Amino acid sequence: MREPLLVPVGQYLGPVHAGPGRPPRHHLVRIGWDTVALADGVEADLWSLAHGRPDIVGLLPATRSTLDAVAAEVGVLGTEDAVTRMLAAGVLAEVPVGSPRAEQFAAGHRWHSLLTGLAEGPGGMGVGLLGAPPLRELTPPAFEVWTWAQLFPDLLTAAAALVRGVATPGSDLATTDPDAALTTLLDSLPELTCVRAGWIDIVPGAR
Amino acid sequence: MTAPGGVLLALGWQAGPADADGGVVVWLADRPCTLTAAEHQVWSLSLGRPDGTGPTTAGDVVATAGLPAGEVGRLLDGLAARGLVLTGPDLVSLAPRVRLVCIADGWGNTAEQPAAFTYGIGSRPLVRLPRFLYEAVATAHRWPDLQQAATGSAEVFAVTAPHLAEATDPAVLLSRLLDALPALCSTHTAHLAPAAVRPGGPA
Repeated sequence: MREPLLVPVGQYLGPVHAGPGRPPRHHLVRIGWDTVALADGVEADLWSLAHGRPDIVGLLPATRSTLDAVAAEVGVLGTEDAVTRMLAAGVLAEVPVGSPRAEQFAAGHRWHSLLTGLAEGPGGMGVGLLGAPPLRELTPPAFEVWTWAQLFPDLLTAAAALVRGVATPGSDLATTDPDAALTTLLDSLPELTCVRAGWIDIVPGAR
Repeated sequence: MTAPGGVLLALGWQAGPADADGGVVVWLADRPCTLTAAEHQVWSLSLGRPDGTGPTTAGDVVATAGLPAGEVGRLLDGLAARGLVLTGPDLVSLAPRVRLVCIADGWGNTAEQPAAFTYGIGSRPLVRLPRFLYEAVATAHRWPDLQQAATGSAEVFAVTAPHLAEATDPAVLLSRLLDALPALCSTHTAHLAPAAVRPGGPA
């Protein structure tokens, strides 16, 4: 059985320094209309790492065990309590792909795309800032999620719509199986969040 | 033809190339629009001046496009007919017709400049704003249009930052948001979408 995905939730609004020369008081993450303050240090570092680190090849943190491995690699220690706190605060979510809990997560969360689309490169469609090198060349499924998922009120509806044929023919998302489409969508998230190509919010009223 | 003195707002989110000839796909809400290279050039100039010095006019686009005025006018008219450019006498009149969507990462502030909150992409800072404006930009997409975003955000700031007159007066906050649009849009910190058709309050 697969280990659950560990998904970061929320719109990052950065550190807040209370005054000149002072360390960050906290880091702001907005979820719905709420704001969550992440403690500077292990908590903020872990939440950032949970988005993925494309520069650490082979250790794209999509699960708790890969997050632990990446955290150890970059020297972030004492992760267990911080992960537990962030799961409770809703800024991290464990999603057992292929289970009813995955559908529940997808029905209660939605996608917001960031960045702009650039030229197609050898690794896929580039996304980033116009006039600058792409931050990442996305695989076809990730590019389709980036392009389309933001149009739908939640991830479950987005996956269902992709099944109905809005996805590019021949892509991994062009399937007739809603469960398979949702799994592909969820599996694409780390590729997108690792370069902050978007973020996941709660559906209004879902919290 | 688009009035030379009227203000322009370019709508849409650039999602990638359309073809090998410089065509570009721009999403207008749930509709992909293909722009030719010339249309894209004029659309991009209509996003605003990166230095944020005032709203963009058709005259500004003519002056910077390097194309004959008649050609720029024809391209602007075509973009306007497709909903990719809005024109009006001033930005306030256009605010109920657009929704502001932030597409950059929030970087917060720094110990060196605690009053300046930055949006950036990758390693490049794009726009620095006072905190109330930074937060209003972050949440603007939750409202059906920019005017309602200003009104709703001002109500929130009346509770969280009642001492900030700029933030708690809806008209002043809308004015500050509109002033920031050229810098926000031309740097791709944010884009404008058509006002949402859904009735009621924020998403």
